[in-house]
Amino acid sequence: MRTTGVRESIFADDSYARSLGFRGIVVPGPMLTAYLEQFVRQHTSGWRLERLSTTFRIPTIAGCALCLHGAVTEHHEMADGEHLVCDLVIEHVGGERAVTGTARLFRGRA
Amino acid sequence: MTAAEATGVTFGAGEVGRVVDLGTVTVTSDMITNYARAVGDDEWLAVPGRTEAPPTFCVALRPGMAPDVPLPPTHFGVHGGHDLDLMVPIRAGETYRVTARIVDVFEKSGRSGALIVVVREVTIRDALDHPVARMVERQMIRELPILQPARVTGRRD
Repeated sequence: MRTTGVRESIFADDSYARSLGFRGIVVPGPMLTAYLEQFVRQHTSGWRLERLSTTFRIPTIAGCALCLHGAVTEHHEMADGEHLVCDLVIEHVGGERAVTGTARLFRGRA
Repeated sequence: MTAAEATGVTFGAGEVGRVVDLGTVTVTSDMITNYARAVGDDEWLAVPGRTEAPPTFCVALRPGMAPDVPLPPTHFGVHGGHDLDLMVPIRAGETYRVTARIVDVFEKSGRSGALIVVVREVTIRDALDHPVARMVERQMIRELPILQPARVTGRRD
């Protein structure tokens, strides 16, 4: 799978990652996106994810503990259902914001 | 001279906007399971026999940052983020076509200095050519850090 068999060795080679100035092996951005999607899914049962936007602000190094936060910022009722918009954050322990993002979800009328 | 010109990150005429066919892929249950394991999606794995992939599985169908942009040896690229539009769930047993294009290139000042940002759009379509997912990805290209001199150790005669 391309997710785990990445060619760039900053995701697999500690020495190479450090030679580029990173503090160790870098967690791939798409893996952090997947964590955010799982986080949203856990808290929005019955809703379908339509859009997920993420910005990787600082590198996350393998072994770093993460804290995920989310907040619903918009809720719209439409004729065909409802839309939710959530702001999302992944922080490193210590409060550094590693990833920011937004999710838009939809739930149809029963 | 632009930052892109100064760094040697160049684009030929017509490369921006040109659609590149990245091929087709038939999704299998094993691919979905391996992806769910790789990203620690225990909730997905807890339901056996699922044919529908987790929403972010679409990212795994593209072969890295493509179309590729050759970088000079003095620079490297990192993932700056992406916007995923998810129209239809991707399913095991279905075949999808992946295309991509560079949509924008611009310069930006970041915390660690000047950056070049390459924006790519990747589209995944089903066998009926309907889009099932679209990803807009941002690659940040920056200068390699100056390496510290190697510490030489050796036997003293």
